[in-house]
Amino acid sequence: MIKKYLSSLLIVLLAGFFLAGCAMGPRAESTPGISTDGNQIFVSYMNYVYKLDPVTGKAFWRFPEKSNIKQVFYAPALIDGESIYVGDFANDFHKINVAGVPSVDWTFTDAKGWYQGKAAKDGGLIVAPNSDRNIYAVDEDNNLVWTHSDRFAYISEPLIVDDMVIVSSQDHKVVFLNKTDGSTIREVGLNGVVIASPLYDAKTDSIYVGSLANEFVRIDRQSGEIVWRYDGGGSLGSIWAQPIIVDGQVIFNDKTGKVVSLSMETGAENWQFNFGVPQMAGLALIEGKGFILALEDGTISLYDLDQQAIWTRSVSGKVYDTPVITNELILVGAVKGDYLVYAFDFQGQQVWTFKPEK
Amino acid sequence: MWDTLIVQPFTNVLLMITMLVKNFGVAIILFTILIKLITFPLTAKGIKSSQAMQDLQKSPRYIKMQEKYKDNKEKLAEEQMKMYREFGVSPFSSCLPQLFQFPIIIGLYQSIMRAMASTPLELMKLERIVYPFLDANKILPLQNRFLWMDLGQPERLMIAGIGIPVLTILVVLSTIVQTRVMTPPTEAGNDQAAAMTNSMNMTMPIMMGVISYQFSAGLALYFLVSNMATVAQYAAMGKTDWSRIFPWVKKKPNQSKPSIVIPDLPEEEEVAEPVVEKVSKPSARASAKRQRPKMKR
Repeated sequence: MIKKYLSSLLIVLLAGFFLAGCAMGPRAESTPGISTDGNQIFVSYMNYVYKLDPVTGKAFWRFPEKSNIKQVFYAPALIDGESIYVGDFANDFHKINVAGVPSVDWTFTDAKGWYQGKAAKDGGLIVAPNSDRNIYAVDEDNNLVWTHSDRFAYISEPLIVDDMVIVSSQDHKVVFLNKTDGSTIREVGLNGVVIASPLYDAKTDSIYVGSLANEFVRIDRQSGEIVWRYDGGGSLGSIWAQPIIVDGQVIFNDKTGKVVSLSMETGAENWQFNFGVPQMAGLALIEGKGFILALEDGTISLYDLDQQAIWTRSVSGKVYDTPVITNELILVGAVKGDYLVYAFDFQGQQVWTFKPEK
Repeated sequence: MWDTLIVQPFTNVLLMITMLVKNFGVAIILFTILIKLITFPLTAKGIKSSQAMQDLQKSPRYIKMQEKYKDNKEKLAEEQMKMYREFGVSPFSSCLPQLFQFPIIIGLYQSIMRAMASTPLELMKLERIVYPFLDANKILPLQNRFLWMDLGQPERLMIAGIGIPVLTILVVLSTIVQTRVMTPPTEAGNDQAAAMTNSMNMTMPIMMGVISYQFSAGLALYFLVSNMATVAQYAAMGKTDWSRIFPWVKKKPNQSKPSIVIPDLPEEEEVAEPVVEKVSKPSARASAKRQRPKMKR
């Protein structure tokens, strides 16, 4: 009787594991990861990375050719000439040759978590944040150079400046690491989770970043000192995206729909206006023209630095990611809409749309 | 509406517990037990009703009635309903409490999934539903490391370089125990019911195992605690026959009284033709009046 019972149990377990191997992929809700080097456009979404034709928006190809349900891509690809570096939700990080038909040069498999943030590269070092609480640094030949561990998942794109790797941490801080060995140079504490990637300005040698605790700060890169902190007198909302820098101003937006311009030097407020519509996507700078503002409801506008709307368009779906600017196009990723990517020219004319084939 | 009434309050309670115990894994365990305690009266009512229905269906009178009207389904249904009314048993009373629990269970599941936000978009959605008095900045991010597990990732315990899905195995085993506890033993000869029960007993653990193996450990932890709490609830009501789960345990003689007492009808009524039923009806009523059904309290 016991033997029969145990054999039934064994069959159940084996069947369970067999089914588990082919049944489902990772469960996560995210947005398309768009990246460009000006000429090439890549979109990471669901089970594929797509390379798009900048003229027509048609996919040249998708990687992998045959989808693997466990392999989900949301992190934007890091473009490096004829290669891209992109991580997936199957805990793998790939270097893919994209000159012709995509081919995998190598895959880094040490991580135990998902790759959600875009990787960064400086010289021969590629730095990839992972949700297993580690930042992995590998060389171009897939050798692990160092690993930096912490208490929470890393999901933001790191910044590499000279000998430092600077990365936002959910553990209410910005972490400065030694690029050579991954050791901690310093940690600068903020009041809340830091999701937005830090922005570096060489002129002031400072880092500009906001947190979910309704604050925006300038951090001196050399000393780690917080030079100034802005909270709008308590009226600021949480900050989810990187700011832009233009003409001595640092401009950013908060989740409540507020756009704020501060003096980079002093943190004094230049101006602000409020749309009253939620926004998670950051501002995208178009040199000489102004900045693109994408609201969650799909409203896309180009503003000049006098806060005048030059044009406003609407896309179907929800927009959560900062628009990406190529040499001639504004790329807007949307979810739950008619298309995944919308391309506008700088005059606001829709050039093409992209929707993955089923 | 669903989010505002169910998911948001549940998520906030879960976050409050997390704030108190400083560990998301412990919070999932406590929250699941809390929900199980709150829904226990419904569970208990369902178990009692289910037991009463089983007792009624096992009674000689019911069996004879089925035999008698086996060729007249309409009449059989009518007589069954009459009998249910007579003894205060409703075919829906055992499943209604379970149905009421459904939104709660789904809400519990969704709140756990919502709290385990792992992408920026999921974090933003979580931040939006945190009540202002809780201060999302102090709560987020959740520390989701529990024992050897990362609750946001599928669980594997690395032993000698091999990832063993310990939690999945525990979920499968506890689901086997739970389904065996919850499903009543099938009567000999009732092949269809037995086949259905066996199928259910096989399918459920596989399904739960697949989900636990593939999804985040936090969800698997919830399944495990929920299964154990359900078994504990049945055990607390004395409805657990351990010999059905562990074959080496000797079956205890059934000492519990039936939920309802079903008197057999007098012989003349049993043989009465359906056409004379109108005549025999008062007598049936009188008979039932003499021996009132007693619900087990």
